[in-house]
Amino acid sequence: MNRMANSFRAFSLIEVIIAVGVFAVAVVVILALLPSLSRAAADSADTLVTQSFSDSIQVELTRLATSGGFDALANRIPEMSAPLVDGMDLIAARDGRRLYSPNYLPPSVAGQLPEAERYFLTEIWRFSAPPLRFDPTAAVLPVYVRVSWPYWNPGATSATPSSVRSQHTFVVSLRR
Amino acid sequence: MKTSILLLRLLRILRETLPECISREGYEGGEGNPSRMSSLQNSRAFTLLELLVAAVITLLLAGLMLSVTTGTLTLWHRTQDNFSSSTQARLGLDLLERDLQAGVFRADGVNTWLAVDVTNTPSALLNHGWQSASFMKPTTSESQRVLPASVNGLDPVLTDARFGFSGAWLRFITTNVEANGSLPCAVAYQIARRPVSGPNNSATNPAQVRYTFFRSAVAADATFATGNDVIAAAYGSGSSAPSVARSAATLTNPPLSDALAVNVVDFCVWLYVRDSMGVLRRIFPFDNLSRSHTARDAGSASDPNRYPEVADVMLRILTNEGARLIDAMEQGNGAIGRPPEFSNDAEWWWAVVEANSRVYTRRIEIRGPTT
Repeated sequence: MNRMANSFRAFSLIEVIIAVGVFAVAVVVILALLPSLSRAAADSADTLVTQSFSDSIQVELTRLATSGGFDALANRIPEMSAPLVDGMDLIAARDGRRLYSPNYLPPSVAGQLPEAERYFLTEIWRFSAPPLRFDPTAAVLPVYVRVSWPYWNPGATSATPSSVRSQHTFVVSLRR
Repeated sequence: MKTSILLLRLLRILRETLPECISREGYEGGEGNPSRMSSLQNSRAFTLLELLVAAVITLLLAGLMLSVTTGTLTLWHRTQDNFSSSTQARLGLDLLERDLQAGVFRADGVNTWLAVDVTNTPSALLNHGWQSASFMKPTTSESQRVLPASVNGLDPVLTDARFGFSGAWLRFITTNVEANGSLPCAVAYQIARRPVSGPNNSATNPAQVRYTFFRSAVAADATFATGNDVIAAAYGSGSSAPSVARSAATLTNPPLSDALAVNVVDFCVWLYVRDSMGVLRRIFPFDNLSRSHTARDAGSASDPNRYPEVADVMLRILTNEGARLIDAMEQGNGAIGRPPEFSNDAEWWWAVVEANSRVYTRRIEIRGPTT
């Protein structure tokens, strides 16, 4: 009789508390996933934009080579080193428009971006070893490109530290 | 403060009721059991207070779950929308990039090797397979912003442009990398508003009408036979019915099988040449009234006839929610009325589109011979 009574008894307070606790943990885990999902989606969209940068970079490098000379541009671009720092900078808006060099032969003011819209930072380096090392007698300048973002968040007073930026790398070549 | 008082009251109620619930004995035995009657008398039903507390807790949990689920679903739909439209944009822009990079030009002064047109007259688009409606993309000045105004003294940007009723109709001669030997062929890119689900469209079973982005490519042998003049009448179409054969020699009325992306409501093209310092100079559009560009002359020609060295292209693609809204507005037979804050339908149409679409741009260097 006692066994039967035990098998039909109600939930104890401890059981109820544990059940609610498990439920709360599950809810918190789901809630914690939301921002990371959102961030991953935005990051994926930004990566897609950077994958179409090669022509924009070539157009801008062609402008710099025409304005200042091909060899002068090649000398201006630093060689790769470990770690990769201090490349030649190009910047662009979040939708990929207006990619330009802000420091070396910048475009007219009307063609530049306000600070808050500088979302992508593109850095370029020359290769330091053959076969892609720049040869002044050759007709091609191969460069290593690293695009990182977000470079400048709207409302921020300084650029985002490079350690927390997403990045995408590829190689572009410029014809003399 | 009020919340704290409510919580204290709830705790007090729980403290008073829970011990009774926990110590209550359940059903103890079956028929013929002498102790059953006394057990039934001992086990009383839930009180109204207990039910109310249980209902409140259940409601709180359900509300929490509902908000979490709604948030997750909204994020999921937004992400799906984003991926769907960016995948379509990438497909269209990748093909356009490949074709433009391989563009072919000979300065013969006779043939037009590249042409762009913007049309604001629906009747002129009938032979492009457009299906008109009483309410659709506006033909008014709201849509005619091929060169947007400068903002804060900065150069205008392509993402603010609106390429008329038709969007750009771009056609040019390129090198078809799919053909044997990479032979020249004529291609065209354009938007057409038409049913997208094939021949089963009928009055009783109407197909969904969508703004669809098309790439029509004329086969290399047909291009050789027809010539390199992309504005020649031979590349035109005399019928409002879309071509059936994918190899048809038309740059005007593409078959449904040439569709690249749906819900593309605008397609914009800006063309540039480089000056002596390598700086890009826009040759199309020259101003907000520019509607056409025909590249057929040598590099020394005037801008309206020069072959471009760089192109900026843009696709505006509706989200799924945007496509649903535009469909309801255009084919809902007045089921949705214009909100009072909009003074006309054109303003309303563009407000809905801009709030429910994404813009994808790409800069393309045209690497073919340009002299």
